[in-house]
Amino acid sequence: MNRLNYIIKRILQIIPVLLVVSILIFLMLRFIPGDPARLVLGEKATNAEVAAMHEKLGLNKSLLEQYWIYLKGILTLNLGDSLKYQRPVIDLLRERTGVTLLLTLVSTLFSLIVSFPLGYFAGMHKDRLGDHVIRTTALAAIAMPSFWVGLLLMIVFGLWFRVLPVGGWGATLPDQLKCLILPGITQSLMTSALLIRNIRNSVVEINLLDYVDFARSKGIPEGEVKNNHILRNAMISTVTLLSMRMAYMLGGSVIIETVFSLPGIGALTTEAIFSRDYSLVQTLVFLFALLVLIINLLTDILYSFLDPRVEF
Amino acid sequence: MKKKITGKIALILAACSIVGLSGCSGQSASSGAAAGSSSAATEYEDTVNIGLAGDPAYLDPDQSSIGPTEATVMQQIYQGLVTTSADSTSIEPDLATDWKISDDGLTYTFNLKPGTKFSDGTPVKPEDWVWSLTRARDCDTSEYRFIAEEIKDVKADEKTVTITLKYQWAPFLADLCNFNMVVGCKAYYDKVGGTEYAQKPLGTGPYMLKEWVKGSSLTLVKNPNYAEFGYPKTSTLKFTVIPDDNTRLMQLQSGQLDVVGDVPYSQVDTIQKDQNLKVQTFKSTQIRYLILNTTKKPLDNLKVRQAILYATNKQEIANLVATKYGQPVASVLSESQGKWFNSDLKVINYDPEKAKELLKEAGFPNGVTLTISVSSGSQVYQQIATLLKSEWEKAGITVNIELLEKAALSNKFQSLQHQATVLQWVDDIMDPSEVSGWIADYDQSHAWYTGLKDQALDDLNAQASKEMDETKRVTMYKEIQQKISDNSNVIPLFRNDFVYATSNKIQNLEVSPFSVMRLKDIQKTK
Amino acid sequence: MFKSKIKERRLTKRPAWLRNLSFLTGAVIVLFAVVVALFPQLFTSHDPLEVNALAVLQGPSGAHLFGTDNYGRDVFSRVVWGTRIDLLLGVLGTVIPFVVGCILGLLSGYFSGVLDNILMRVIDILMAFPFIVLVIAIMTVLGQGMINVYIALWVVGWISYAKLVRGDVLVLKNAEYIQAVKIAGFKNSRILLRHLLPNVINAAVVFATSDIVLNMLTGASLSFIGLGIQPPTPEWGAIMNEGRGYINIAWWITLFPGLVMAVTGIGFSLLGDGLADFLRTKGR
Repeated sequence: MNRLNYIIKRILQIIPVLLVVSILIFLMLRFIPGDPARLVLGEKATNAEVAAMHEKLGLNKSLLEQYWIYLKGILTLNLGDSLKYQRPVIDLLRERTGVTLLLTLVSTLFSLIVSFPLGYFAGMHKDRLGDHVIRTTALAAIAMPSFWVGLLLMIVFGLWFRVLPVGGWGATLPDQLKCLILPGITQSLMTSALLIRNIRNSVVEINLLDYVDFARSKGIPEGEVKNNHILRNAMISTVTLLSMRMAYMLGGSVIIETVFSLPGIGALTTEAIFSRDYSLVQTLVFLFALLVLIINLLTDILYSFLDPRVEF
Repeated sequence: MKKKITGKIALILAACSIVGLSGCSGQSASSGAAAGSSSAATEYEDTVNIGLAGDPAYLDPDQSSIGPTEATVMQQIYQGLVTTSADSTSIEPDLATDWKISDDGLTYTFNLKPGTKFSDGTPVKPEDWVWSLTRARDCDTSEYRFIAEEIKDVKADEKTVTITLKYQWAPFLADLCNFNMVVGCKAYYDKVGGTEYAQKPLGTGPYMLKEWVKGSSLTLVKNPNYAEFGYPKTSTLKFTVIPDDNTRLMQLQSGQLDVVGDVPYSQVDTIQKDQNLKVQTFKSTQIRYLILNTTKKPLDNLKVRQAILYATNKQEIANLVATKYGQPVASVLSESQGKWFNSDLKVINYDPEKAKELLKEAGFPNGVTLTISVSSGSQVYQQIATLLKSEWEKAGITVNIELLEKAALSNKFQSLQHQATVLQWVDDIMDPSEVSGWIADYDQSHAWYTGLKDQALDDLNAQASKEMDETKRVTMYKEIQQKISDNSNVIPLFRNDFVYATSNKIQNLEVSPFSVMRLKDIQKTK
Repeated sequence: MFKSKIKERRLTKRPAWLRNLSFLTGAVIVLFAVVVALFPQLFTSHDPLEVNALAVLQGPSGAHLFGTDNYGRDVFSRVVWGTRIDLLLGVLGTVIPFVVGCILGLLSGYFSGVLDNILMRVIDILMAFPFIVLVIAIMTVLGQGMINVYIALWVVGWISYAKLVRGDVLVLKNAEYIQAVKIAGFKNSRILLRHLLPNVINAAVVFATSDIVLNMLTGASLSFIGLGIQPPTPEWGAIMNEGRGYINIAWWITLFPGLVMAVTGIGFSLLGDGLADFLRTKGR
């Protein structure tokens, strides 16, 4: 099978996954205690009013019927209105998805910029001073909760030095990017650390592997060994890890956006879950799933380029 | 009559600061000079930046679950017939000049100020009044339509608005001050439709909405057609949405914001130490209550509930949760409601031994075990529950704390599945009928989720809401407070002030006891 | 065999004690944490739950090493008692997913075919949810509580191992020496256990040590969102979160549990590194 077929096959594989995902989301939501009609009507609502609201929201229909409406909504982008905001869900997505994507992108960029040189350096200088410093710092970075780090960063850069805004969101792109620096650093910290560890360990491990020795013994110049073999192989596990981390960071936006008051879909998701805003939750979680699947797809495609030995 | 854990909603303007370091006392330039500017003629900034705890869902007074954020913004945009006075002791004209009440107490006639216009220049028409007030009563999305449910009929001409009531209703004028009893433009609604109406409000108030970056900020600018000359004092208000209390405060400290509410009490010292900032406190009607479900054993036993009363150290809870801004209370009604408040009720001193005795009398010599279910969203509730646990255990009451997220918790107490919980209340109007009805009128909330049926109390409450003689009415409400206290099903713990932190340059911030900012006077010196 | 000669040269390049330094430091930290978790009463005389209105928000002192919190509780003893809960959270939350994930990853990577296909679809479905979002969703359905936190971590945790191991197996099974033993007619079980497992387990072990830390962090994050463990249980994340509102005036409440968590995390990671080194030398 050639690569193009592989890619097409992977895209086709996504469809059943999305279908199952949508069923899972739908069912999970129905198992959460708390009646959305009562929440939106307030505590004084009579049973008749609640029943009327159920009808209006379609909650009195059978589960199968409700699911079909949900599925149809996703396919036709007719996602219904948010219960809390009384506006089309699609409008809310349009306003907020960009923030979260940008945050994830900035965080990924930060981690890549930091981790590749440091990880490679540490791996090639195993057990020397630089390695120890880099590793210990990375270890510490892994073990700190993101909301804790975010708080400290806000205090240091927002309050003491006053060089960056303390949370919030700008109106223009430069302002917005400025607002993303601290959240981006906070978000990327653990990813950078994990990547550094992974790149370093891969480099060290591959340095010890037989085929590198073999290549050396065949008299291939040291530089070429490093570039072609070491780096390339280090990339494979790194790409796997990075794609997992990107998905993780996408979800981490739930926390980061809360700490830094960013108007993204992460903060909106918890808000929607807590207010039992069914139509909003089921769309948001589905969107998260879709984004993650796209990341995974791209990873797999990248994978096939990096390591031709992977079986299609 | 409504209000759950998130309670805090709103009435209208008014309320002067009672403490406030420098501002808020007057509007003269001299107070401005005192606040820090040394130049002769005080110059003011065009924009004041205000922190908002959440993004408003919409700006339509007749939508569901309106919270403090929606109310705060809407109060700058909309106006009603009457409003609460600045010291929140009386009711003042707003778009009406004066009014007349018929002898039977059923017909209210309001004379209108001439020439009132919406911010786009359209004059307010009689049909707008009829449409707005009827909509407040009938709009099925409005969670606050109970405020208007006494209205039978609204008629209006160019000069007057006449409202007929279904029955005598003493708090009617107070109800008219609520944020949903305002005038909107019918023609505009018909033109743009409900969805856009809720996104682009059109009112007669001091400000109008200029820009709304969803989830992030709202910019309000001066309404050129606002009736009161010279107001509002500041031409632009920028509300920035920062849900996290800490982040909001840090933005104030870094100068990104000028005004921040809901300041965590623990942070007050830090702000006071900051030379650029000041702390302002405002009288509030915010009280936290312990709710005991009397349909669950052993809380069906009055002696057990009394034991809990003695085992609860209200002073300690007030001090630890709200520091010097909290005070233990004995009545369910806030002292800030003035004449209605029953000052004869006294806070019972913490006495775990007496509590043990009462438990023994109730037939529980070995103590009891209770579960307190509280909301996980706010630290205040967890704090109160943690304190109750440690206090009660000294009196032989073993406590499990159950943390539930808000929706799951409301589900639980609405169906009376809980044993004990902690909730709060903030009045919306200047009248005792709201909180009293919520507890005494069984049909409203099963006696605030305590499941206690007290017919005498229920009747007294119904009578009090229709009594037109104010002296008699005051006596009735004092008795209601006494009765609720005797029942010990809803135990008020403490009342706290609203604490705001502002830049030193901010003058004339006013916050009502109902948690709404009045912003037409606010100014920031350069 | 010149291969092993090269390896020997490289391994003997640094002294033994240095080679084991990571492992030793990590082991000491983790061992200490375990002792604290088992016998917290040896390290503090204060009751972690005792409220004292007279000693609220006191800075670190001789009497209160880490100061007191907003209830006047001794932060040090809360952190000490919290060790038990957080270690359990980290270890129990990791061990089960580790074992399950490694086995599944190994099998599906090696045999490919139907098993691999099914597994990958299940993984695809679970992986499609971002970690935190899925954990939050599960916690909302189940409600708060320690057991539910475990369940949420288990449901999600094994995927990383399965994916990591499978990815490595896919690459390794085509490596010359594996092909060689295959051709030599070795049994699958032998190839899996003796040749593949030792080579792929390293990455999983390294990841597991971070995963322990990750699980502790997830517990803390759940507290942050308001879906964590029931109060007043002294859990590090909960303590940090409780101190969040006081960070400007009582930094000690938030800072110390964070630092302790970081040190414990470093301990586990060092242990993992040492272990990986050890496995690498022994594996061949």
